[in-house]
Amino acid sequence: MKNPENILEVEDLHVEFPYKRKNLKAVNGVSFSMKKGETLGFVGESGCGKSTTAKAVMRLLSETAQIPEGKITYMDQDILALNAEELRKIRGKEIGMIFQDPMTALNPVLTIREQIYEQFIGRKMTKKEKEAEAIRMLEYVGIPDPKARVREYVYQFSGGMRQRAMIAIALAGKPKLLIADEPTTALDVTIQDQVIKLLNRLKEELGMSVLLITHDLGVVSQMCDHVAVMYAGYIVEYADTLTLFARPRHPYTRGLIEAIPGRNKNEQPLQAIPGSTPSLEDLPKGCAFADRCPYCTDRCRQSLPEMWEIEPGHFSRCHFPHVLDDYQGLITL
Amino acid sequence: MKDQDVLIDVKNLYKYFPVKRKITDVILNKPKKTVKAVDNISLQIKKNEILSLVGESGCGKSSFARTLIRLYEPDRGYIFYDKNDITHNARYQMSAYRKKMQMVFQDPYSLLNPRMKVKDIFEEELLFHKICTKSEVNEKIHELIEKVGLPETALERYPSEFSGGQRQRIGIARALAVNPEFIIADEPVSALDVSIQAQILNLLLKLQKDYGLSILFISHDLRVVNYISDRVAVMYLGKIVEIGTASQIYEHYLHPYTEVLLKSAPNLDPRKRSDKPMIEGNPPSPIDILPGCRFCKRCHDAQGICFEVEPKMVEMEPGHFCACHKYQQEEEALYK
Repeated sequence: MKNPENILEVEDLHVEFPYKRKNLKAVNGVSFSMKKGETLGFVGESGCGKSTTAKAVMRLLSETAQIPEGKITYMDQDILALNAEELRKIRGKEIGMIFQDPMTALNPVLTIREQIYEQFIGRKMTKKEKEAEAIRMLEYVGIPDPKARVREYVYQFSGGMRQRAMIAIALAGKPKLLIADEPTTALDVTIQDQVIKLLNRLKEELGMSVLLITHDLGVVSQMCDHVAVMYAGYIVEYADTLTLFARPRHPYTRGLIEAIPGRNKNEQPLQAIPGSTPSLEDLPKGCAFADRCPYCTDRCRQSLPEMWEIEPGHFSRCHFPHVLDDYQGLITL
Repeated sequence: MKDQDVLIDVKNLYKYFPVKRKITDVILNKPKKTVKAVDNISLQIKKNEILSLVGESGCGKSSFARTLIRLYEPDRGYIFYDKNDITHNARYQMSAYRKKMQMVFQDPYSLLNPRMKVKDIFEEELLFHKICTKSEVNEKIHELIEKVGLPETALERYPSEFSGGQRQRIGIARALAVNPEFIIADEPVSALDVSIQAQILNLLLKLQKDYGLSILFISHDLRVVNYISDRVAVMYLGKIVEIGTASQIYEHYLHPYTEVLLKSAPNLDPRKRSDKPMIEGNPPSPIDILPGCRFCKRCHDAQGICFEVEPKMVEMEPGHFCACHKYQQEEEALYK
């Protein structure tokens, strides 16, 4: 590891998918690191590459995925160089993952108990110990009547409970890093509130690091220490949460903020970002956001901007990183 | 509310669904269970207004919408469309109203024929409802596609070739094709990215102004509802618990459930984080409904009377109604 305080370091990651004789460039030179115990959020809209980046960390990408460049280091281990046996030791036990839809992510023909037991493979436990631990996990995530429910199947749980069950299963492996891919997106607002508070509590109590993927800035606000904003496979802005919300500097981040209805009390009209995301097979040679950016110049269309460090720890991928210096973010510090 | 302003008047509407019984239940003569999806709902939708219906999954808002548009037959109560009683209209009687009442769904893909080009989908609809003659169809289709902000090339494509936001625009165009007066939008932006959501919301607002539409907007997203609505109705387990203008609901809500919904939404200020969720657990089942207020088991302010007597809808200030014992002191005095 370059820094012993880090749990994960990703350098210049590129992920491509072949498609109709071209290559879809899903992740383009993504670099970031996570300190132990922090929550890092990846925020962006559909197709921006956040899920692909997360899956790459666990080597969960489909067989067609190509990683032409990049390095992923988890606790001194080079993830991309591991063989199947080594990966199996990491998945579930070191790095766990929870997904958006428990119905498709969990096994419908195994009981919750059996799915928790899968996480115990490799640990020496008696049958009684396994059952006690499984019940304890369900109780820990707030599922009432865990003794009975541990023998049930996923379909017998309601939406919020399924999400909790999925979290319990993921945590049973005692991972140090939890990757949460849109864990609250499909949930009602009251259940989302419960899951956010639960994940925050678990993170504190278990000393876990969390890589959170979401499109909801509200969830970012309530869970993340740092945020990376992604667009068309690039990280376009990175900062700690307070700074990003107070002083966003990339025009796309501003676009996301202004698209939040009712973001402040004054009845400001919703500013929709005109146009749509570029097709990943034909990414422009310059800045991917150029066509939709109110500050676009010829230079933006011609050359890809670098990441500029605007202030310590705050980065923006823009040729004009100070273009939003006067912009009033969501909060005032 | 003046009578002439009202387009849709719903009075004491009920829609229950029977729960499928196992053969053992039939043999043992166990009592029949029902899902009380719509349980005595009364409300009015004015001409030219956007009324939002907000509540969580399973509260009955979609069932209410479908009953209102007569996709289901109501069990009890009345639905008046522009003073005409359409509650038990037969199919042939409803066809005149089908042009006036249209619906936009969360996932338009499932209602667009995947084997027909967009222009053919519109043409079929326009000719079926006799909106225009065959010679006028082309012009009307071009008008429609422009109104929803899609390029002309879209007409030659199949539904599968579009993104979520574009399909939603097609869904809206489809609804507009028949020149409706009233549109029910059932979670139209819930599946969309935030910037596309903003585009569609702005589109709906513009079309509402241009066409003078009334819209029943169903959503679980309070921020979206606050932005787009004139009035808001909050639903819980088949009942409306509070109804008022958007500013009444958001600035001085009354019902404890409304408060829970509003405060559960994640705060956009990272400095304001709390450890405890606003409310625990799930809403109880709409099948075994206990007496009293539906919300009492999870309500922070519940008192004795809440578990026994169902609260009535009371007008707390002009246009702002709430069904909660907290505000009905005389009742409590009687109970004691």
